[in-house]
Amino acid sequence: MNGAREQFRSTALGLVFIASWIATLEIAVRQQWVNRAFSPFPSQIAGQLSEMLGSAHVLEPLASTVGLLGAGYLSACLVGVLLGLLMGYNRNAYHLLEPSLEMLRPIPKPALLPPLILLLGLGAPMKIVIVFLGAVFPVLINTIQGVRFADPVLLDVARTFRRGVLGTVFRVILPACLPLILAGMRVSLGLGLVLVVLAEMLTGAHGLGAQLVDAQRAFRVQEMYAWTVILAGLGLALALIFDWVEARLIFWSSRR
Amino acid sequence: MKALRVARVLAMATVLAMLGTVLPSSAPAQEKASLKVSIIPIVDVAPLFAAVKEGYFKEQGLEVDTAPTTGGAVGLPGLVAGAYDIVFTNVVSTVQARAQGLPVRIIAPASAVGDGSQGPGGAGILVRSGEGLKSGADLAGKSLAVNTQKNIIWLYARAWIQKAGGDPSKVTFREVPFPQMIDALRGDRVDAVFVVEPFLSLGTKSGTAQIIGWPYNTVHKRIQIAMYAASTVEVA
Amino acid sequence: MARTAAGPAAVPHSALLSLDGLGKTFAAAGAEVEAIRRVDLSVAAGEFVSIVGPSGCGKSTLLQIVAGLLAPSAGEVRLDGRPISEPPEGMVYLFQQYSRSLFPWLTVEENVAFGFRHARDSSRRAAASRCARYLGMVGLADFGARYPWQLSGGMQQRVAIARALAAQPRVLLMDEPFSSVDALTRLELQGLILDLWARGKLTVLLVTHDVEEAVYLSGRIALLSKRPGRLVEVFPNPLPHPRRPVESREDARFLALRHELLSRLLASE
Repeated sequence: MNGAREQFRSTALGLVFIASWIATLEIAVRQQWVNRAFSPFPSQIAGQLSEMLGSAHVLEPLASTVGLLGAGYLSACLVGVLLGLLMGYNRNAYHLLEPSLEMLRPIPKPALLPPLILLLGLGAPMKIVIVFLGAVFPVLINTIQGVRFADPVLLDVARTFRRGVLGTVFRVILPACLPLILAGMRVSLGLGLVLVVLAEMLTGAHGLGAQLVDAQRAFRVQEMYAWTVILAGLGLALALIFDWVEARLIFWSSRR
Repeated sequence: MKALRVARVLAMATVLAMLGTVLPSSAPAQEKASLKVSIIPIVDVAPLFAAVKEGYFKEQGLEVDTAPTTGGAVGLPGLVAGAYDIVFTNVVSTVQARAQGLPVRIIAPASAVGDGSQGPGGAGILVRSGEGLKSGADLAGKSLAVNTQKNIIWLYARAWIQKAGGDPSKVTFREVPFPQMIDALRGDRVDAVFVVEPFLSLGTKSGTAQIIGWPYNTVHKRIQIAMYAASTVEVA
Repeated sequence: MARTAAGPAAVPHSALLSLDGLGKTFAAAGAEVEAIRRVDLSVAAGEFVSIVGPSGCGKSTLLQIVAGLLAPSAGEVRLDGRPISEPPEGMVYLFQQYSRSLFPWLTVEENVAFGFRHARDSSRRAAASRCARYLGMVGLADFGARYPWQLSGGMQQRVAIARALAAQPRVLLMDEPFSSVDALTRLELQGLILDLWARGKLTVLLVTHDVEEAVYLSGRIALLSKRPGRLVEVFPNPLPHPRRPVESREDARFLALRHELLSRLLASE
């Protein structure tokens, strides 16, 4: 009984704080303490949002962004895990590939946008690739670390029951490293979203980033803020979905 | 000879107009010794550079520091945020900014389209030679580069496509800065560009690109394309 | 109380497991550490042999070499006459850290199934009934759907034992299996192991620091010296079967052997 009340109190506190600064902002703009033309005007933003959401004007750009993000992110997770398992398990593979990867990894991925635009153009392939490049490294590195630090007892169990390499890697090592791998995937998700929106902002045409810049170019400032809110909502939704999936996959990890 | 005199007059006029509205006339407002001017690296701002070179600004005790952007749609927010004192911008972006209540005002004219009697002008639609794109209607499903979305270039490109019987909504507009447009066209990143001088001539020189339209000429003559704008909240 | 002096006791000719001149040296921080030296031991089919020794004498290392998890620096281990270089068919090693040896993402039943699952011919139903049988043997018939972390330490050890037995090995190697459970649970698990062994067909090699446990459970007890571990002596155990947790421990023969072993251990410290 008390637990529920505590929970309610703590959530309510945060919500009240948010409501208070939104209210302050609203008052500030109405009273012209800040310039109405380019400051966020909460009531107008809300109006824009309801119009946009009601007319399904949001769906097409949202689908475009999520689609590109999904393609880049999921392929990055797959490649990151498989390559990470290989490099973590096999010393030769690690020494072969690590120097090349270490050259790519430190590059801030937004810096790769100009060369990628030159090589791949302004369309979907370029955006999927930039998301892939940004998302693959956290997953890869965490997977390698996970394999390296996998509990030797579990590995010996696999040996004593005479599991082959594939069986050991996919049925023992992979589940054992899953918490670390998922932590990497979580970072990659945030990074991927940033990169796809950035790419859309720079190359225009489709997606949430393009809509945001479009509103800015026409000086429809409150609509621009509305798109920002939608982007924030997308980020939040993705994080919540990730939490849900993670909880189901590693239900066992906190209990060891 | 005549062109040179015209250029000089234009330059002088630009400077005086700018100074007249930006500098303090009465009041104890601050003296501005240096002006940060956002420009687009195209031929339209040549008079400004000429004025700087001739020392007109220096005579008035001013130093001009130019900063390139892709267009007025990018420069105007910078103006409002205080990063620039003056912005070289196009009329469409300026009108939209004012309509949304942004504190900007026009202080001097820059470039305009005449009546077409002296040739088609310095802005045209380019495509790769030999690819068979001939009019606005052929651009359906293709991409066209503009320097920024929602500005005069964008607007006139759409109007030109419509006038040719095409549907602008079927064309993908991509933002590419003017200096990079010819490269983007040659590199297959876009199928058509709406480009201005000096890049228009550079692009057609080698023959790999050809002009298929003059939107300023065909859509609406006699319009003030670009101007210099400053903030209403500025000094003075 | 037939007991030979030095050297391994006479062993029936059918030695299932033979340790020949085993030695192991580790390289640690520049220096070389000799863990065990020239250990010879033969174990016949169906025997229950314990290895005891002071802590650090290398008995765990010895067992891991026998299990095929560690390569010896000298000598070899033979199962049924064939040398071992990696964990062989028919032998299962039970870990001291049983809690860590169970997969937390698998249920108890799935953990037990890991013991034999990779055989392609086992259908789902056959596998389920095999798991149920071994879980029943260790008294966990109703816990198949639980997760290991939902069980107590003693129950987890039973799951590990069930998993080991489900693989139907001929040799079971146990490394201090009951050292981290409470005394009462320890007695229960000891009884369980004795029962399972008594059904026949199982040969057990047990490493323990608990002399009483060794005397209670085994038929022969090998005493290792302190590091580097050498086989000092092998003691036959006259204590008769069936063994009972309370009465056997009060038996004079139990006490005598216990006395002998403890004295020798403490003397070697």
